[in-house]
Amino acid sequence: MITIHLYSASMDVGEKLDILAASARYDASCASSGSRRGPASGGFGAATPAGVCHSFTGDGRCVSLLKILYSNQCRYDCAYCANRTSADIRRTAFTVDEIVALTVSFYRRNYIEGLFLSSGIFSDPDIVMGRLITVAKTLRQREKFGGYIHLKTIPGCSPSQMREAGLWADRLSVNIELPSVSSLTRLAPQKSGTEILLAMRNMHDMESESLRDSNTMRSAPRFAPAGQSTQLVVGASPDGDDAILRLAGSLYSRYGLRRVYYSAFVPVSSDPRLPPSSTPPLRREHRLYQADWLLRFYGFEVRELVGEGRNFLEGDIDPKTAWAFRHPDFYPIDLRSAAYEKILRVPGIGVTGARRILGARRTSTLKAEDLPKLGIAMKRARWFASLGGKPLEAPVDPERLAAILADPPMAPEARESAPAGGIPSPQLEFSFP
Amino acid sequence: MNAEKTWSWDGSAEGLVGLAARAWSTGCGPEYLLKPGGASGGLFEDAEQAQCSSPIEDRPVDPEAVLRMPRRLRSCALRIWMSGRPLEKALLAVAARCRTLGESAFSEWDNPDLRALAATVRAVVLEEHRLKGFARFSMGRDGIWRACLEPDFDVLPALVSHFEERFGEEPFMLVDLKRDYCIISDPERIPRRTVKAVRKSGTVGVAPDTGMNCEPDPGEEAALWRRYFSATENPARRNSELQRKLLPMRYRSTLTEFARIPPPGPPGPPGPSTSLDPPDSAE
Repeated sequence: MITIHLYSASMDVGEKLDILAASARYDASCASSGSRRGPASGGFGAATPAGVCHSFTGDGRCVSLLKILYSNQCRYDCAYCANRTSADIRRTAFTVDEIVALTVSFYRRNYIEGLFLSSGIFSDPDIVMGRLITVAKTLRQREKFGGYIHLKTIPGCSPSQMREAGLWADRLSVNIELPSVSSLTRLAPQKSGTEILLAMRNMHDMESESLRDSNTMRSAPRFAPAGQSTQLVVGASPDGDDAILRLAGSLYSRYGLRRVYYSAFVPVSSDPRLPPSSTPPLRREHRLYQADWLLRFYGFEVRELVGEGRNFLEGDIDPKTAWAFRHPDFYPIDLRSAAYEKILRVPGIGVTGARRILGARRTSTLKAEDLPKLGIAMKRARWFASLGGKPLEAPVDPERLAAILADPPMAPEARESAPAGGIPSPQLEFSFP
Repeated sequence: MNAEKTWSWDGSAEGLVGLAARAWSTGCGPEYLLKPGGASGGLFEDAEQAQCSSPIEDRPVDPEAVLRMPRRLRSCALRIWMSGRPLEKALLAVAARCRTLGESAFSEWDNPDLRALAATVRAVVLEEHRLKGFARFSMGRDGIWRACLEPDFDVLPALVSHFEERFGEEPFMLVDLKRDYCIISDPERIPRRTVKAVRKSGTVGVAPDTGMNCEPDPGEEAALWRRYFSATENPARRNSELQRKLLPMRYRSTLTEFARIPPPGPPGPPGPSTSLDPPDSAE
């Protein structure tokens, strides 16, 4: 076993914070939503279902939780990871009391909604998971902390530990990181896809069981009330968007995941197994989030967005507009009579806009000048919608329309190299337990 | 002036909610609305023409109507009051429409009154939501957590219950630097009170002797937070434009992580002795 205290004994909390916050910054999730809890008697802290952003970093990401690692010491040597065992970085670990004190003092000053605690695999999974559980338990029991806690689950830990983690934490997660067995074998040889999926299934089963219990007995403790999430690294392997979205779709439907996060690969080493890119594929990450949204809220299916020879989402236009270009016969949609599901397929009309159209139709006859007032993005919608059978805009050449609707290049700070289009996606897929 | 067609309003949030409840329960708004301070001007100087001209019974606010009115309408009235924008007439017109249409009145997007209300309510709610995250607390000399804010709208009353949940039984204070008042929540002594803030030599408080410094927190925890904030950013993903959009510059003056803390200066001359002990040597 590695004795981590040798590394950390001479460091103060500030130095540890520098190292262990920087080590955790590659995790995209920082959400504090999905849970409601008031302060315990004599305690403090609450969780709100919508979550709250307490700041935004220079990369525009919401800071909602104190996102740190317990330790950045790791036995695994995953090529894409900044904390891999072969990386030449300073290693350290917090103590349980240090994390508890930081969380409490940051929370009271309203810097954070709670804690997101992960860790490198510095020892046996049960030992690592045990430390994370001790932090959560100390916060809840000793400090009577009612704020949000997100714990990373260590694959391979025992089901009893997972169950205990879920009783103290609002959300649990386990990162699958790569969308195919072949990529996982190549880039993260010590990780097992089956073990990760098994952990997800166990969490899903415990969540369902807890939900059943709370339906029969109100005081039954809830297991991870904010559910579970995972993360996929985008661009570290040659896997296409089709593999990523297929996996995400399966995780939503099989294991009831609340969120799948996509994190553009940030090159942290010159490992020959990694693509020779120098900038993270942020545009690709953005398109995956858009596609994910279409899967969850717009009634799209994965095969409608990718597949049939298309391994990647279009880079210059959003996935919904791309689908519209591939299905010209579906349009124009008559906004005065179409069903909600059809209106949702019009580029430029979101869930709120579609609901407003239905509401406005009940009280008056919809006119073209009403649409901007309903918050409809006319720049896109006018090419695909009609009113009373009359198209809002005369049809134009598809190529010209594609140029009109293409997104502008990304800001210079965040520019990326073009996604590696045309790389065939590996056919090896996970077999779900 | 015909008293039956004229409604007056004392300028309070409760008063505006009461008027909205009255418009909702009668299905009609006033012909004239005497706004706060209207009585001090000329007879019709501050009266405004309202949408409805049908006569209504001039009766006091019906507390039952306030309880029964649609929740959305009540929340809308409170937000309009917080905004300070002159939209009372539009509010009462929408409230009257609610009588016949119910909640569907909030779907009439071709109604200019509703659009004006919705835009303002959105702005107020956004301000509330942002300040739930952007308020920064530090411990005052009196042992009370306090946050100094400069909100565009008068949203402190909407924030208090959120922070009461966070603080549990601990007392705290929210200070509105723009409007010079604060709300104190101290569940053990007195549930909630609003008091005028007193400014004195760079500090603000409820009385001169409880002055609070609203400068950035110079404490150790604040320094740790700044270190965390800096470490958690990923330079490879930098996007300052997005950061500016999500965290506008106007909020940054009260945010610990953006505070410019002056470096510690040389020690000043020793101040007058406050010790009550006698000097070591007899002079």
